[in-house]
Amino acid sequence: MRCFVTAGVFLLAFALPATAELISPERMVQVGNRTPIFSLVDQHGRLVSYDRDYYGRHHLVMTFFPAAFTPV
Amino acid sequence: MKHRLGLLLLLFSLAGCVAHQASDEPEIDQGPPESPMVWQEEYQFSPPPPPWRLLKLDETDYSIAYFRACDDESGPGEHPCESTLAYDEEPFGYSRDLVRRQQEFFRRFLWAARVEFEEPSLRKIQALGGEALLAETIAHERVLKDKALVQVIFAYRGERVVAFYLTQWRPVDQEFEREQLGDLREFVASFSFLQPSFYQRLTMD
Amino acid sequence: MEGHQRNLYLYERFNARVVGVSRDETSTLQHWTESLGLTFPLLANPTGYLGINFGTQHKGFPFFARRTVVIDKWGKIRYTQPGSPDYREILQLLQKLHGEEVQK
Repeated sequence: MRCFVTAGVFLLAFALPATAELISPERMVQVGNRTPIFSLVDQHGRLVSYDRDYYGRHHLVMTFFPAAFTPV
Repeated sequence: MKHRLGLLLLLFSLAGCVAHQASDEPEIDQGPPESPMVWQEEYQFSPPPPPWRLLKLDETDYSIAYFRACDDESGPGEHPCESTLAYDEEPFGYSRDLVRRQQEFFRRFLWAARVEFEEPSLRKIQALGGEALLAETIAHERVLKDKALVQVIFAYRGERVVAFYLTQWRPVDQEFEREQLGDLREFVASFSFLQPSFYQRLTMD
Repeated sequence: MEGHQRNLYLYERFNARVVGVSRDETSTLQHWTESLGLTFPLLANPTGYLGINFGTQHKGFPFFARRTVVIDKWGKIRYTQPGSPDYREILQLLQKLHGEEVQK
């Protein structure tokens, strides 16, 4: 049991810094930066992943909008 | 003597009315009604005759609209009695097939007016030097008891579909004036493009 | 969003794709897609992290502010503009990106 706890602690210790390293929005939005990789589910329940579906394949236009059923 | 004075006063006041109206006329110099108008050095057309008046020229969505209200001495009233005649370079919808585009268009046209459309009648015609589709229907606002005669002409500008339309609003118990549809047909017949569109230029390079 | 759908054939010519992103759930997006007849992906980001990353999630608002971003196929952000999409500007940029691609 104790080794599981220890393993868990070690895992958290390594994982946390990576997730805690949030890049500030201001830096990411700038033209010239590399895009963050993302995976999200679309309206048909399909997983869309930047790296698999677009990176090295297609230029991507991405429009953020407030809410469905409102004018964009 | 009294009658003559009265007549003079009437004439003076009428003259005053005419002078006042003349100063209310829009400042756009369109020339005589039949002469063609050029907009953005790209669109050439004959404006519809008075009482149609230019409502807007929109550079962001590339549309031209004319408007006329009913001759109405009794004031605006609750029900709209007015017509719009327009060119729309980006009509609702996406298809480049005219029949499908027409279906998509009517799903969204006048959506804010909360109307239901009757099944449009469709007819193939020629417009803008090519194949076009004329769709006519009546829109019903059943709650407020208004209706609109709607005629739309879908045509091609290069690869893309453009549209001309006339909407004529009347209270539900009034007859439509179909003669106005002639103004739409003449507007379309006079319409031409003096240079390629943004999209045509994009794919030309 | 209709403008994107109308220009889809041009995006394809320039080897580009388009997605929309909002904080709606997939089920809401499904209904909306059907009502508008959109055929490109609309991504659900209820947690909002992608909007945060792209600087379009403002404090105190439960939804994204409008913004369009263009990422070239080499992973670089080439354009970011708040507000409703400027479709013509986007097309001109995609034409340029496609030109770069052809040259490589």
